[in-house]
Amino acid sequence: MDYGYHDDCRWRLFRGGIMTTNLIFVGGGAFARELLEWVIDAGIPLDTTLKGYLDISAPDYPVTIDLPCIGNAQDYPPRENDLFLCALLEPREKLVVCRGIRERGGVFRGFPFSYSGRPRRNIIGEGCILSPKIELTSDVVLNEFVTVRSFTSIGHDVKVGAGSTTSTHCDIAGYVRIGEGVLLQPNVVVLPHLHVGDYARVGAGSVVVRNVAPGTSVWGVPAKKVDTSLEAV
Amino acid sequence: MPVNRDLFIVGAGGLGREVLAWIYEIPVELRNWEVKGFLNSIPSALDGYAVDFPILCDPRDFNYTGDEFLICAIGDPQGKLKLCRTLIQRGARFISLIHPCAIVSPSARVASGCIVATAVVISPGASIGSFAVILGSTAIGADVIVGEGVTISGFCFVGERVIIGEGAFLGSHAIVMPGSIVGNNARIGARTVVSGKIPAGATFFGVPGQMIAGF
Repeated sequence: MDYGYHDDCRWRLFRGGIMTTNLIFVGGGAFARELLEWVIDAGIPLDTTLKGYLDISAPDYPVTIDLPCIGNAQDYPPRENDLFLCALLEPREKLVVCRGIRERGGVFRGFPFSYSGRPRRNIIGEGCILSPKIELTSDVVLNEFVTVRSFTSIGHDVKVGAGSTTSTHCDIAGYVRIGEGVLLQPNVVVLPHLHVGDYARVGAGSVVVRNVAPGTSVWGVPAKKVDTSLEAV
Repeated sequence: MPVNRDLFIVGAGGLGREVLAWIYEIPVELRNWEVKGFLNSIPSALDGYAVDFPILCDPRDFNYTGDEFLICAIGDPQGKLKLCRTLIQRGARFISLIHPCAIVSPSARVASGCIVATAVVISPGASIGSFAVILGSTAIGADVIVGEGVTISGFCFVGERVIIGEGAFLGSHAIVMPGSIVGNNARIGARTVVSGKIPAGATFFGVPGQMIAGF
């Protein structure tokens, strides 16, 4: 398929200026659909057009987002004026795909567009998606491409590594360190000062009472090591 | 100037009193109703509470014209379905209460007689059946189908494409993983994680959820 320059060039005149920014969703699953509604609800900036979404090679969900597919996330060449929104949930996929797009020159935008962490000294990395109704208390550091879903509360001085996903209703207590590419399924409680290692996965409803080793999956109350594969939700 | 309709709350238990509080959080300019009171089978249910509205009569004895606004404020799934189906046959018309702080996607559908409490998030494509009650801070995923009379407690997570059968109950913090099917009248305990197919009438509890009743 040809994604030639003229096909997706959507420059439009506006008040004598030029509307130039194109917003592109990375991933077209159910979370992208939700994110699209939040974006529309928040008000799309005047200089921004919704251009479409980028497919991933093996989507595990029928694509239903109401936007045109404009290419494949693995090989899409970013154009000038393109801005990307990461709508993926699976941490490993998110890191590979989004870092790939950035290496090819793409620029990511976070959501909400105007989040200011300054009064609470929170530092939010590039391309982080913060869902409605979450709580980032204070001195929180989120690395790039972190996704936080609704009703999650992140305590003071928590650091979350790149590409991690915390699903809904998670409660991450103070001073916790979450590594890179970590998945927390819904309703996970992590007690204060604990470390969750890189690429670890924590099952739904778990209470994490001791450190989680990198690359392991834990589940239960209290959370113990399991062999179950835990999918991103 | 439109005439305000009479509003009655069916059920004067704890949920009925909560509903009374929630409807007064709707902005004044959007109120096209006037609360008349509660319909409850036990006339003494509000004794000891300083509620400004009376219990008028048993809902089965009320003479419905079809012009009243009725809110079904009963938590028990089976009791609520049985009563409300009788009342509908006698001309009762129920409305749904969606709290102003809830986020309901424009592409989601909420049938009549539902209660969607504060801070609930309902995602695109979800469909909520009649007389469902969804309590505070619950997240309903995309394309979920919630059956008639289902009660979902607070802080629940219902994943994408889940189907919840008629009359099911979810305790608070219950987690239904994406793609699951919860059978009719099943009961999922508090902070219980379930996935896959839950048989009708079963009771599940624990992390991960185990069947403890309804074999």
